[in-house]
Amino acid sequence: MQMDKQDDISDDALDALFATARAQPPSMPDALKQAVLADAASVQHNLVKEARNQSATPTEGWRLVVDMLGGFLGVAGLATACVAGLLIGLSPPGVFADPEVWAIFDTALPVDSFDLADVFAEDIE
Amino acid sequence: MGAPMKEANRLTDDALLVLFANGDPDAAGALTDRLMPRAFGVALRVLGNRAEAEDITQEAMMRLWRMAPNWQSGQAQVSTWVYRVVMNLCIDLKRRQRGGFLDLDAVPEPEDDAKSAVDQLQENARFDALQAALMQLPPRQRQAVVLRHLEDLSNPEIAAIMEIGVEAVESLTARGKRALAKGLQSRRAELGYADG
Repeated sequence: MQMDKQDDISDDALDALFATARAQPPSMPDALKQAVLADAASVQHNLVKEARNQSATPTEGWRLVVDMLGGFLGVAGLATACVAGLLIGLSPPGVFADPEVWAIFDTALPVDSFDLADVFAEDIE
Repeated sequence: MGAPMKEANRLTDDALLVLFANGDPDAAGALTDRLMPRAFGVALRVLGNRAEAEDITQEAMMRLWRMAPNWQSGQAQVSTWVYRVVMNLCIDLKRRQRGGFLDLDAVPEPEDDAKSAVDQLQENARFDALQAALMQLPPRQRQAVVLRHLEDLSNPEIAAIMEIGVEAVESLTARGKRALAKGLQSRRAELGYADG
């Protein structure tokens, strides 16, 4: 190692010291490596679990619609009602084809029992 | 399934990080072998305390694992990112401590059975002297000197880690090296530069 005339540490000496230090990196504690790997395993476990949950659940938009309709039971009831309505429309039961059934609606109230037009006409007079 | 260890060692840090995020069981081991010694070495040289350096290293690696799913390949080098996190954690720790003591006894002593006891003591004394002199530098100079001369990084790499310009790195390392030479004057005997 060389020193300059003012007894300073020369650049060469300093570089040699750096090189020696580089060649002998600090020893790694085994416990630290184990701790780091344990952290990694824990984080990775959560990442994988999160990814699985995301792929298994419906999208946020669908979940919102289902919630608004009262959950899955509500959606199932609505779907059943829709199907029933469609079937009735396409193929009405025989009872609705009977004219006597419709006659009930025709005679349920007397035609002249109440007429709003008459009420207004009386008020005007 | 995970990539076998030999195969994992051929992959880039970027690729390993993606594999880790996707659940590969070998990726974490390969990344740890590559990055942890660097993180620990820098933290130890900057902090001068082994226990603190271990804590900082574990925290930096934890942040790496958590960041993995959001890593954008090609944006930066993973090692640069780790160095930067270590440096910031060191700065935060020192700020919190506000004048923490220097624990030179905590600096690890390299083991080499091939060396004689006298040589080993001499070398240990040199490392201790170097570490003590490093601890006398202002924090930014110390970081720059450690990264440049002990981690052997290029000035652009150091600039990216410290988030400063290359010229600022050159200035810091030059001033740091001068200050280090001056600081080591009084330790000439420990360094093996005895008169005569």
